[in-house]
Amino acid sequence: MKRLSVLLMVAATLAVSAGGAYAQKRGGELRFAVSAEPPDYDCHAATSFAFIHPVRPHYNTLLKFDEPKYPAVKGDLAESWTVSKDGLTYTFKLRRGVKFHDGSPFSSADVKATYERIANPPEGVRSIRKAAYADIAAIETPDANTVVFRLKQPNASMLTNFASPWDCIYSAAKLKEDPKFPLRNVLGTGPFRFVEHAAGSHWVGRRFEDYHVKGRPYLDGFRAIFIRDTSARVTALQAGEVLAEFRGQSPADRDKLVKALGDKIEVHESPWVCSLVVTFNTERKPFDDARVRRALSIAVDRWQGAKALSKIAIVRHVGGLLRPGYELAAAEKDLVQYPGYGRDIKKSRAEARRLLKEAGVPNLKFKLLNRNVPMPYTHVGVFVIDQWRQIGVQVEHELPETRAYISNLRGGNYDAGMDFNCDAVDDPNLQLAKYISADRSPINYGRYNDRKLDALYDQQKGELNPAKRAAILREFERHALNEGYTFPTIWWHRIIVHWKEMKGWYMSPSHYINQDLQDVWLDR
Amino acid sequence: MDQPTALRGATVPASAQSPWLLEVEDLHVHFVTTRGVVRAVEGISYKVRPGETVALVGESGCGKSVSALAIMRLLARPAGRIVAGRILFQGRNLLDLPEDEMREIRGRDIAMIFQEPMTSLNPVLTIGFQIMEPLLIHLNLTEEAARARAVELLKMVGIPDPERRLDQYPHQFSGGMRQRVMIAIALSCNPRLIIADEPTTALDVTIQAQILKLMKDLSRDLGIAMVIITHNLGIVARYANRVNVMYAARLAEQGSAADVFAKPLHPYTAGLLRSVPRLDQPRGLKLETIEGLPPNLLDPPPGCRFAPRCLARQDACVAQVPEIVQVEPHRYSACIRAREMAQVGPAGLQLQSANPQPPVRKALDKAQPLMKVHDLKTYFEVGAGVRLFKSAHLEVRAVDGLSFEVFRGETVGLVGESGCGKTTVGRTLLRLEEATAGEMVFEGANVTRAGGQQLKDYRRKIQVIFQDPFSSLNPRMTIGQIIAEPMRVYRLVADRGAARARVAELLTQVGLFEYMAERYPHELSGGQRQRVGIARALAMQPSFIVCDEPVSALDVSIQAQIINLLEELQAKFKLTFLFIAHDLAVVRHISDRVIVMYLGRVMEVADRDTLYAEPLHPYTKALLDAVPIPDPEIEAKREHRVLGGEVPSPLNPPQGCVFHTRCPLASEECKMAIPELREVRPRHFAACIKV
Amino acid sequence: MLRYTIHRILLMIPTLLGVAVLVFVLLRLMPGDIVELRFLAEGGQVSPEVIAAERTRLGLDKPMWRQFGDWMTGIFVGDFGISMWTGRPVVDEIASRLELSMQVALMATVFAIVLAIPLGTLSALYKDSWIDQVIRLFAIAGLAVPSFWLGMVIILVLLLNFNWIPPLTYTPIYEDPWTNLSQLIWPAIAVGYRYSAVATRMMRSTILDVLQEDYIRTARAKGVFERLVVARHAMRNAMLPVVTVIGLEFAFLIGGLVVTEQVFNLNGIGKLFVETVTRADYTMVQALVMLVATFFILVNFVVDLLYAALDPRIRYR
Repeated sequence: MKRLSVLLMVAATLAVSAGGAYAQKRGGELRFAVSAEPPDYDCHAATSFAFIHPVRPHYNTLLKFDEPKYPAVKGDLAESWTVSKDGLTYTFKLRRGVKFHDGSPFSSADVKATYERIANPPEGVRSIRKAAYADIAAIETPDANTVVFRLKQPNASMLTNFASPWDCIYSAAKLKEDPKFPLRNVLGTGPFRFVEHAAGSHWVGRRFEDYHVKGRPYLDGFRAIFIRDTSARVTALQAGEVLAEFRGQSPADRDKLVKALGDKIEVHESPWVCSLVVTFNTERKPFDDARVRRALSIAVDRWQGAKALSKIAIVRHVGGLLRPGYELAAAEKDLVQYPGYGRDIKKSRAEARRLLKEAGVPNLKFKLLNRNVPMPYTHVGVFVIDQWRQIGVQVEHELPETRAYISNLRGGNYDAGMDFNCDAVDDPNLQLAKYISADRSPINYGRYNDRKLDALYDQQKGELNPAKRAAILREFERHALNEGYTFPTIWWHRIIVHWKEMKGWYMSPSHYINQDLQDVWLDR
Repeated sequence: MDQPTALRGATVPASAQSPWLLEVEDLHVHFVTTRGVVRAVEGISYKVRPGETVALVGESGCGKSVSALAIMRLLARPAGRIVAGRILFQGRNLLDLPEDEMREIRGRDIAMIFQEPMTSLNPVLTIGFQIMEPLLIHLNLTEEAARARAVELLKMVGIPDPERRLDQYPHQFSGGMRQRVMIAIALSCNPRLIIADEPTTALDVTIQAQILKLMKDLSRDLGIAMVIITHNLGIVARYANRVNVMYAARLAEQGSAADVFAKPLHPYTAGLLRSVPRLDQPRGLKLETIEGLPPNLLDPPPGCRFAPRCLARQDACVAQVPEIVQVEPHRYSACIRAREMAQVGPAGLQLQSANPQPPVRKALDKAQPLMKVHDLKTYFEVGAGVRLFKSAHLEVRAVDGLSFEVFRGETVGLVGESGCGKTTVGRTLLRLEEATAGEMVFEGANVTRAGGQQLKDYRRKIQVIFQDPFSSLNPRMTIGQIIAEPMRVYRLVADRGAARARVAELLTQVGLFEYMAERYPHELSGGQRQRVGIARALAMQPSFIVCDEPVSALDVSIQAQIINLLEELQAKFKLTFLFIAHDLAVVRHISDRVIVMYLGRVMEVADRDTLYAEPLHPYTKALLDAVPIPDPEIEAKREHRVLGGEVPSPLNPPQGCVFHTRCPLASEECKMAIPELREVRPRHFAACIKV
Repeated sequence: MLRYTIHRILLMIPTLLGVAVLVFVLLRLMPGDIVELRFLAEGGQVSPEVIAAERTRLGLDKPMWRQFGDWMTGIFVGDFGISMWTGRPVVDEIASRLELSMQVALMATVFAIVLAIPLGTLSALYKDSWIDQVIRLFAIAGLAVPSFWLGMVIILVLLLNFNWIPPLTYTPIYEDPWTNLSQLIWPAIAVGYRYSAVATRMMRSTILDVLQEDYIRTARAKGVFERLVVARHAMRNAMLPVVTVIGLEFAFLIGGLVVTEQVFNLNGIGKLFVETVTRADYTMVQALVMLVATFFILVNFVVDLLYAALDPRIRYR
């Protein structure tokens, strides 16, 4: 069955490329804006979209997301793959004739070296996402074009992991010389060669003429321009100095650009794999009491809030612990059953007041730690505080600099905090990590341990059947929301505005993917 | 067209039609201010012959400088306006000339010398350039020719080493030297007329004498007419052919200098002559002053401007403005009683007492001095920033070995030229500067290093009156607050009410009115402000007051009032004064004993009468010679030995006797050792090996 | 003169040491550090071990006095350190931005001087006339309008009227003067306007003061042409306070154009400053503060030397 789906996928890819072939033009340099800048060049140690946008076009990964059909995956350096029935063996057939930018040939050894570096980084190498590959027991290379991953236990997210935009395939030879080679050097097999990075200014890539996909890339090159200031970025977009910006625009800037440029631009919108969540410091009273936490969660009118806030901020969607619209996420009929998602807010508020009274804190006062970033943190913070005011809870809004915010949140120096959960892809393993016990999850700032959640988490991770996995996820969600250690407020909404002359780029719920620019072309 | 000018001779008068070089006729100048129109000059007329020296005399604000600037058409714009009159220069009315022709006259035909040599030269341009500038502009000389002429001019005004000094800047010149440079600039284009506006007021007496002599000699040798504007009657007596006395924007009197001084025909002139303490006459009981203040020119009184202060006032004086009329041949006066005055003299009109009363001898308790100063030294370190480099550090010996005693009720005068250290003496006594060595014993206690309560007590008993009555009063406090503040600090008054009563009492004592307690300093005149300064000092009920040049910023008539006030207060409150001044006549008038200082050292100490009658030290003699006496007859007879040279830099004083560089008696011996101050005659000390 | 220079340079040491201590301590007062910021600001699931290892790598786990000592000894041997964020030498990071900042500062200064001296003089000469009123209005507006706001207006005007904005990336002037100027002239104007306004007002008031001076009266009494009175006698004296203003403003422009550089997307010291401060990149912030402090001291020194050149009364020993 797996093989069939792979074949279908390949066919679909062919259809897309064949279908569009008549119109695509070669040439031109794509200029796009990036609001921040990669500090160094090692994919495995990076966490920022600002890294992905300029760096990803230089590399390939084993798999990648099938742009128009996200979250389906397709081969990037892998031509095809099989997964054993027990889910413990992944066998990849690699493409032939692939070369690194320095001319050296690519082989299975490079994949092995890359994943070993991620899963077991040598001394002095940072691997941020090591945990996601903890289930890998061994990597084998039976021949130059085959690589086999053996797992200790089944992992339902493994294919998604292999499509991660962070897992740039490096040259084994270079890694052998110096495991830190990628930190300062860009050498991949991707569609674009690295030309220049002018610190603070821009990043330039040129077409890799020996790229293994025939006729790609279409672009002669790209130029990522670092523009920190939001209004300067919008101005550059409006002037056509850059054709796109791939993180997202605010609703106001979208409207401004549409008004100024009319049909010269295209607007894409999608739910975003990011949400703002409220986390309680369960080590502090009264937040150790589930009734208080639940009361504060159900007092928030998410449905009304989403509608109102979407006009001014980059949030729009009501969802559970997984992104609304994701195949494993709760459908609305399930959602409204969860505490805090009911349509009758009056009833919810009455319940909230009752819970607070029961818990002995009818006139609760506390501080909400929030990040000093207006979009969307401040907007949502103000909204939530106003919701709480309506059940008689007084909350002070604390907005320190990002640095102090993170430090206080992590250090448990807060009552309640506006936290965020933002990942490169839709994946329960990633999104639920925020909710499992603090002794297992580095990003649980609520300082609680809940073994039931941990057990459900492990269970869903090993469940290869999507329907069964979904059922476990619903249970996880229900329990987490009943306890209310950490609860989602409103999910983000991604808005991309780009000039129409840029073609072949596909919108997705994540600003980390679909950025290799392989199929992008300019209609000039 | 500049040809005739360039070739013009130095002595031949150009005007054929008129014997007068300059005729000012019925000149009226107004200043438009936000508070109204100030009539600064009203109907002034005078004439100047080629080659003669004419003086304009009067107190500050009488319009004498304005009338001079009006001739140059350099009144401050846009406020100053010439509203009527004519100024004929060589027969041409300057007021009708287009600006560019007027500009050609300035500096070429009429040159001007100003009061402040320190600020009248541009600090960022070389002396040479500033002298050459008019030559280049008016005479079209080449650079080399102009430079040659500049060297010649510097030589003419007595500046040694002119070639080198041309490339120096004004700050490298002393005040006297700068005034010489100003004269050189004025002379550069061989002008017909030089207007000198208080040319020596800012200079020390010995330098003043040098400069005035230079001007007089040059004007005589080159046949240049001069208009000297001054408040100093001595200068007029010594140098002027004719004199115009001004009062409150109008002319009071005109005539030859000799006549006006001998026989004043206006009560104001008579008053002025009486108010000045004189070196040539014995001091009277008190100075006879002109009471009151000059009128405010924004709103002058009707009739004779002087009437409110005039002792010979009649009803007619107030009724109408008196015209200036000829009283005697070549004598003009604007007083309706001038003819009467010509007959009976000022005493006849009760303007002055016929026989001045002799002073009352003070009976001093000489048992114990109130203040005894022994071998006082105050040195200043002059260093550049942080003392990383030892050699960058220099020392100024501002006061070097001063000893004197002051008895209760006595006034000790301290005279000397600028830089002699007299002000530092005062500041050291006040403990505003730390003495480097020596001791000061006050009421039997050594206060040289006193601290804490002792210093506090001492500071209450020793007070000061400063020179500048304006800058020493806080402009944001009322007079009442200014006087009450120290009393409240020292808790001399119980409460606010007591303070108010005491302020009222003090104001009355210094001749002011109670209501003035509510005023601010800028609302008062200079003399009134000085009275406030005195009241503030008196508030502390001191026994000793340091008077640091208390009258030198004041006009003659006001100066006399303040001196009289100080003397009255001394008698009334048994005060003791250290009277610091550069004006020898004033010091003579007020002091019992006089100390003469030069470059930080005492030259001579003696009782007043002894010192002035029989000065021993050559410096004292030179000082006395240099002071012009307001009597042309005496001045004509006096031999003017002008002391040459300048006061050396205190950073680098001469070896041996500090005065030897300028002393007419100096010999090699004088350079060898610093002469001791020794008692040449009983109670008469001098520091000179030649006496 | 040489001795004076050495003296001044020696005096810099305690000043800079004070600055160093201050910036070092102030930076560390705020909770949080670069490691948390780098790995957690965008939601990565980073293990505490990675964070601890990174802190060790950057030396953040050492006691404060050791960190300070390391920094100072580094400076002593000419090693200003490695940026904690990019891992590149601090000197390289600054050098690549200094050229642009210097050019903008210089252009703004030239712009300010070229405007301020004639305008200030005219305003003083025609005091209270309509010319004066117009110039004063110009100057007041310059003080009231923040540079970055003027910059935004300039960009909007260019965008809306010409559908053009200045180039977004820097081209050195020796490579392509036209592109270079078309990028930098606008921020120079935006910044130079306020700068010229300050200098114009200073020039006006000092000219007014100087025109009251006795030596101006002397010059007029000599029959000097009025324009020479102003040009030769008044302006040079009036320049002294203006030179101070210009010097301090110039020093400020290196590193002070925090917002303006962002508005024009200039890759200068000011933008680097904000970025490194928000990143808590201690080594970079420390180096930048020291750079700006040194620059201020040097500019002050140059101003003092200019004083001596302009005013013969001032001579340094």
